[in-house]
Amino acid sequence: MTEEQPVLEIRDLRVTFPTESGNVQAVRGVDVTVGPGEMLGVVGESGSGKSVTFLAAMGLLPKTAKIEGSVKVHGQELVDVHNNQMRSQRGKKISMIFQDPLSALNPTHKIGHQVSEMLRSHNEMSKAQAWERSVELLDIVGIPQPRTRASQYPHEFSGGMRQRVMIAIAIANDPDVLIADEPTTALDVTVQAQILDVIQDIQHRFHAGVVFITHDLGVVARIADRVQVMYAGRTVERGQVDDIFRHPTHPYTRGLLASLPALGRERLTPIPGAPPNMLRPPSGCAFRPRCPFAQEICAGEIPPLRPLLGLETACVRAEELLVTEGVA
Amino acid sequence: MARFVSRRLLWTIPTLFVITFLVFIAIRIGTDPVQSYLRINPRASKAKIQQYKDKNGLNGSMVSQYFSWLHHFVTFNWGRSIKGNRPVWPELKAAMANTLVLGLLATAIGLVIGLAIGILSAMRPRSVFDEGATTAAFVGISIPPYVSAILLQLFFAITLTRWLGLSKPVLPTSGIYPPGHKGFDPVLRAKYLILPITVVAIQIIAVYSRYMRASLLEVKNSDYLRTARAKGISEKRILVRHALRNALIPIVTVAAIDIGAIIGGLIITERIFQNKGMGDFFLTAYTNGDFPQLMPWMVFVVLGVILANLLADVLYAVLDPRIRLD
Amino acid sequence: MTEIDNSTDLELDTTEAHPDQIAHAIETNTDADLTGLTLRDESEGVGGESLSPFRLALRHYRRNRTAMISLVILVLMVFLCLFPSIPARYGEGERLPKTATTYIYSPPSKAAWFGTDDLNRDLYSRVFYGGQVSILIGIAVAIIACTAGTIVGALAGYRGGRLDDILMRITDIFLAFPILVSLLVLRNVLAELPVFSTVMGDKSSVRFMVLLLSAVGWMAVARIVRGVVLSLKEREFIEASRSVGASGRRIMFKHLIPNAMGPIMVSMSLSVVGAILAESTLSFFGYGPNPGAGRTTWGLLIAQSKNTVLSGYWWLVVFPCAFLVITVVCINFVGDGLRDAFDPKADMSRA
Repeated sequence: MTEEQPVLEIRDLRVTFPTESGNVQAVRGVDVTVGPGEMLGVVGESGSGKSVTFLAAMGLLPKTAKIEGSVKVHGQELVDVHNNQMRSQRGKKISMIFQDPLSALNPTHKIGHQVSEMLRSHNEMSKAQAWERSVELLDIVGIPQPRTRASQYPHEFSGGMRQRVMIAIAIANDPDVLIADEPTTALDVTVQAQILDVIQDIQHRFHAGVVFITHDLGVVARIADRVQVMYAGRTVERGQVDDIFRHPTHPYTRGLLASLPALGRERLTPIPGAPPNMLRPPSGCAFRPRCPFAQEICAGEIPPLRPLLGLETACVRAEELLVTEGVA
Repeated sequence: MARFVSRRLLWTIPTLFVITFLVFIAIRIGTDPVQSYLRINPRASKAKIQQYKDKNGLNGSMVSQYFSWLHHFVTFNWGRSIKGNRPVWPELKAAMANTLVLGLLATAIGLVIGLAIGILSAMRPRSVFDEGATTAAFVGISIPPYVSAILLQLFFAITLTRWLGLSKPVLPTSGIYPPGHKGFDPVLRAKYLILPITVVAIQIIAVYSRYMRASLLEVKNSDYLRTARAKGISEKRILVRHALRNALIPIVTVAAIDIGAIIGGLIITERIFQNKGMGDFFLTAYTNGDFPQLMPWMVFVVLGVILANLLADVLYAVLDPRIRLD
Repeated sequence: MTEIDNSTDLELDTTEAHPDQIAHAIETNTDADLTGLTLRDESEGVGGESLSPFRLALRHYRRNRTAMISLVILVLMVFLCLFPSIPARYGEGERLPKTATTYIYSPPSKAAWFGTDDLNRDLYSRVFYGGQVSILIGIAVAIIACTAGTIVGALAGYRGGRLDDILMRITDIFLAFPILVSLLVLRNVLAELPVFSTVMGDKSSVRFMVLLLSAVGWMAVARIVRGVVLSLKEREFIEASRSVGASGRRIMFKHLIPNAMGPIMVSMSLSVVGAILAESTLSFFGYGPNPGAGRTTWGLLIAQSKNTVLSGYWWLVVFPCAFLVITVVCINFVGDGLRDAFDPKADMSRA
């Protein structure tokens, strides 16, 4: 954490979706803090609420979603705010890139136009000026021959190039917060590395706070400064990258690390069971049904995050386990 | 693009050959011109019949008959109708004009209304408006044009007149102008067009409101709309520049084809409302077995369809950059 | 609660979605799954049993109010028309005795609920008798056209190559012309050619009409089925069948066609509608079937009424039209409900 004011502050966010069968509690009380120039890796399985949290921050959830809590970007509250105000912040102070760059770009608009649109919706700019700036931005994200390419269409670009375009769009207005929702999941491994470089470059060049959402711990290890692990709509562990990887304290985090393929590891040990039904999440610690160390105490109150060994953990038995199981 | 178009136009010629040949055979078999001639002139002598046959190239095999017809056709020697012995072209031309007026107007009106309804439906799926519009569209599709035509005629000619105690119907229910009228009077013309346009427009509105709704709903699910929203641009811009821009592509191409089908497609409406267009022309010619009238008519219809398809393909390529014309 | 001004929003509505799907959909960033979410993915029944696609479709269909109501009305209508002696009050060609309220062209009265026609026959009864012929024609055409169309379409789609090309060419040409034109021209051709006329009978017979309509109707069905087969062909389960050695015919019948049931059912309903409407249109212009002395069809009833429109005998027009339209509307709703039940993501409003 830096001394400067955090660019993104989420406090006690709760998101519920009403459905035919009841209310899905996608996010059940999540806090997030991101400082300027810092990269936060958010890790979790499908259903953990990791994407929903930040979609809510962007105001991109369906209108049927119930959102409670606070989201502040550079001190400006975004929950319970009028739509027009939200719109003026979106794309300007906080922007987002998504998983599948092919479907995320409008197939009938030129690339340059799609970047220009971002510029002109938040700045007074002529078409020509916006176009010029778009070409510059395409250059910044590493697209070769940006001027020619700007007149082309998404289907003429490769996956990696398209994702760079998405990044160019996202940074067009120099946002304080950039949210990357699984940006490399749909790309080849070799291209992944390039995109990660681009994002890191952006992080440092623009001094933006970056949230990198992923299920891939390897990526997190490589580029994140801090890590936040989510499960069943809550944060279960949080801290500096090195601390989390060296001595994870929550059984879920340990499980995730143990299930990574690694040299020397003969067998993969996946986490048994399946993510919980968010209609009726288990009482107490939601990881309880799959946790090898679960005991009665885990079924009590929902465990809050508390500091331990320099990071924060939500396992009530964390200290015990450190002793009995040793550091993972 | 130019290459594509010229290639397609070139292809039109052999296509026309094949299709007109098949059509010729079909009509020739089904509508023997000699029979029709005899029906009109039952006491024609053998010599006269032979003379008729010679003049119209009706001797020899089917294939040779086709070629003699073809020869006549391309040299603009379209002969005269069997019944009434009138030149074919002037009547056909007038019929074409009438159909185009009725068809294009009805299509324009129908598309505007239909697409608007479809858009509104898609923006509020499963709302009262949407359910109502869907039901109305279904009913519209289910009512055959002749039913709506007759019911409208009944209503305007009889019922409304009786209710309002008028001596003359509120809206004319047949013809293009009042009998005996000469010259061009746009207001009068319009009045006579109201009912037939309504009948045609009902079909168009019903069909296109559903298309638009479906197409827009599909686009609504697209990721690029979310990206657009993430840019913070206004909902209106998202609707027009992003959603509609993409949703209209399939609609435009289908509309192009439908417009091509207008040429021969208004048979029922034209007949019921005594609107002497292409459809009415066909029906009369068919009833009379009037071969010289039927063939040119067919050619025009086929030409219309082929050109409309070409237009649709071109439009598709223009509107969707992903489509490459070879 | 986020307050949003949404008068023109294209936002999504999750209230009919399954909870797991929402979570999953949002997590994998595919809003595509949020609308069009269906009962189908909830493939566990209430007691947790697994439901076959048919039972799933049935359950989904039952929830569709409009489709259910239409089905009920349709069944009632078909039943009453197929057994017209039940609802009819008089015989089909029976002329009523001339009274103060029932005379030639008399308006609806207690004795003749729908009025009488030019021979003082009860229109109400004749509407049911006429319906019998119209509906039977529709069903017959649907069966023939769909069977032929499905087989040809499936073969063309699966085998591809020459057969497919020929099929597409032929149907392209036919479907390029307005249907009425195709029907009328074909009518003459089939009536003249001795080859066909022996099979089909006289051109004013009901048999002729059924065969004529089927001859044009199978094409639309073939194209739909071909399309479905083409898309199914690429799916993995076909590969899997082939890899265990299943023969082409077996694949076609056991796998492709059952999976195409949704579109096939839709084409059946569209065929019935098409046939009923085509018969009535042809009859309207005098080219329809003549079902025999005193007998009638809906098309004939309407055709006979058209000359009397200007005389104001509205009942002759309105009642047969109403029955025709109601039947067609119900078939359309049922067909749409079926399509929706089998695969809500496909929109086949144009066959």
